[in-house]
Amino acid sequence: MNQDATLLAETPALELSGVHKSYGSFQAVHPLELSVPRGSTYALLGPNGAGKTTTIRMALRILDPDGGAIRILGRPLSQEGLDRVGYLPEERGLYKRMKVKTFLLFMAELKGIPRREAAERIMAWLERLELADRANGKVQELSKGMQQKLQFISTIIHEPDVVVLDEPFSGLDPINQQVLRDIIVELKAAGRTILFSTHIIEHAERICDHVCILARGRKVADGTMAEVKQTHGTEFVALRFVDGASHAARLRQLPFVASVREHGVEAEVALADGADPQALLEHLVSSGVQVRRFEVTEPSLEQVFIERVGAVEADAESQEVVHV
Amino acid sequence: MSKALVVVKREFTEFVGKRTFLVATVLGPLLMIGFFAVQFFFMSQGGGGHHTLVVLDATGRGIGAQVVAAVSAEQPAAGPRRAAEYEASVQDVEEVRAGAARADLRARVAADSLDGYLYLPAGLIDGGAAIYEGKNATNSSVTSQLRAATQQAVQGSRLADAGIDPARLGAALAPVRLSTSRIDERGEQGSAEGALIMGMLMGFAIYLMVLLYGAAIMNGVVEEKRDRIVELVMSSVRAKDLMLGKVVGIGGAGLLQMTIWVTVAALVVINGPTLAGLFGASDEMVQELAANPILPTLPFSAVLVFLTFFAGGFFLYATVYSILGAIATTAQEAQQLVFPAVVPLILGFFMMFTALENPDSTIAVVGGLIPFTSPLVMPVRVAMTGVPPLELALAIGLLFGTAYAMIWVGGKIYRIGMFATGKRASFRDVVRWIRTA
Repeated sequence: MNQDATLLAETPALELSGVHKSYGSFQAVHPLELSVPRGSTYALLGPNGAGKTTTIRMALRILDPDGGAIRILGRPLSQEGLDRVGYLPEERGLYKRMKVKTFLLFMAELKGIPRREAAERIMAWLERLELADRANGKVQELSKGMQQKLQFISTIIHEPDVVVLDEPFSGLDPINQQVLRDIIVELKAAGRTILFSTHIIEHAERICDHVCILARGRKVADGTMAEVKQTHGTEFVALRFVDGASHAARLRQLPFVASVREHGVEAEVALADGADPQALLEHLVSSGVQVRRFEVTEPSLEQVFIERVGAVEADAESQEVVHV
Repeated sequence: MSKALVVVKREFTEFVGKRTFLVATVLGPLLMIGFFAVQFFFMSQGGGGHHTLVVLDATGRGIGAQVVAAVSAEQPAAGPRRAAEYEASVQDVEEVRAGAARADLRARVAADSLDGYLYLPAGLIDGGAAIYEGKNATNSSVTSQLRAATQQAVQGSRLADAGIDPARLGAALAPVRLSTSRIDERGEQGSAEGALIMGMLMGFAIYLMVLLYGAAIMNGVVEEKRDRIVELVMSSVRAKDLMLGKVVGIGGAGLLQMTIWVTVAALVVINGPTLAGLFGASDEMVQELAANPILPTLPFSAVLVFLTFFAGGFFLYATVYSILGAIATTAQEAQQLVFPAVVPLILGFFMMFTALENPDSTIAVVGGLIPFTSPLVMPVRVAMTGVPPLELALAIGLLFGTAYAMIWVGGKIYRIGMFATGKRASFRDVVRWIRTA
């Protein structure tokens, strides 16, 4: 490998700098910096309307940004770069009247894969996802679940270096959710970069090692999963009492407790800034409450999400009120 | 392989692979031969019939007898029509008694013992009108035969009165035949008839192609948007290439079908006389057809120009259809936009007729350059007059250049229009899309 190639291999798989987009007077994406490291599984997390899909579409040249620069695999956005990307759009689409195999051949050829090589890969995938007997049937004759599988295959048939999945789990039945999860794990193991957009926090947390949280077209958190969680200064304690009661009212009165979330038999206590979890334990022991579980936990992504996104939303709403 | 080529291949094979394509390709020529057969069948069923009539002659010059002799003689077949048979008799009458005689004949017609009667008044030779009354008075083949027979007899009498021999007059008045052909700088020949037929063919061929395959292109674009496939495809191929692939792919399939049809049509025309005989045309008709071929011969250069402008014209209008598909959100909506899109084609037709009258008129020259009308006008001009090569090259350049520019514009509209589902874009929206995309 020559030096230039080595250098390229170390550059981010996808890099956005100062990329922004507005539709009329609505700013969908404010100038955005995003760097997706090679081999990472990167979540683009945010509520609906946060600008996730617009960002992805700009990165894939489906939309033109109003400004900013986009680089894929170390080079400015180009057809060659895009040929190394696999895309599963949120709005799934297939040529309904084509034959299954012909459709996949078309998608592979569009990405520059020679016909014979594509044909072999297609049969392997169809067999793996139990669609081999439908290879010469029409797409529209497949069940919805089968069409979803077909869509997965079309996304990765050219063995892309970067896979972009926009809300991939929406509308999938549990079986296909598992199929997709297996594919993601496999891609990850093979060193592919995955950009995964979702509004479901649990998906991001379970699948991804990096996360960027978007709200109202702005980035509110970005980094590895651990980094993002650490930026949340608060410490949490998960509690369960022997008597099964939550004791929430009592806990809330303590000076070093910021808030308490009740989950039925368990409670989750957020400590005030700088408070020591030990103080809580001492208080509980001294007040004679029998504790079954006491665990200092790292903040969940959900907590970070609610705090960060909530702040932006509240800010936006207050501005809207001012406008009125 | 270039991306556009991959799209071309897909569009072409999908279109040709459809059952409707196969059916239309086979049925088209069958229909064509069928029309040919039906036309002759119907024509051969016209005419004929048996007519009983009386010629009431008050001229006193024997006109009635001549008319009866003319219609009673065996009628020559007019085309594939069967000849009518007449059973006619003369009844001479004095002018003053004519009223009573006509009343009598009318009663016989009413009683069905007679089909009709022809009254020749005394003043007929000096310009009076003959009168035919009968049940078959609306049968044009009967009345035209009676008129012809009467006219011939009356004219004969008039010439005799003037002392002129009808046969010598006929010889003197024999029509002069004028055969027109053009000789230009290169000494090639073309005829106005050839140009007219070529121009008409061109107009209808482009119109038919656009109607048949333009709609397929338009629906393909609308479907891609509706089925949400376009976003997926556009992450792999530029909108312009997608449009180009669609127009060339479906257009190519259309050209293939058209070629098959034209080949069959040419075979039908070349073997027309034989076929006409098979479908019951008379021998004279067959010989006449063989002597006057329907298609005039054209110089090779004119055929080349014809084909070039045909392809250019078709692709230009096909791109217009693809743009309509990109603007519309449903197939029905797109259909409503079609008529305005083919208006320039109709304008081209009008310009073509102007060019036929005077191929060097300003309208013909300008119409031969404007891309939307040049496919109709320019080939006619080339066939009729010497068009400077530079002008011809300019027209071809403008035609294909515009077609390509339309694909480029269409791509831009497609790219933005694909997310604007729900409401149809206004003209202003579209202009904004083109500017901002």
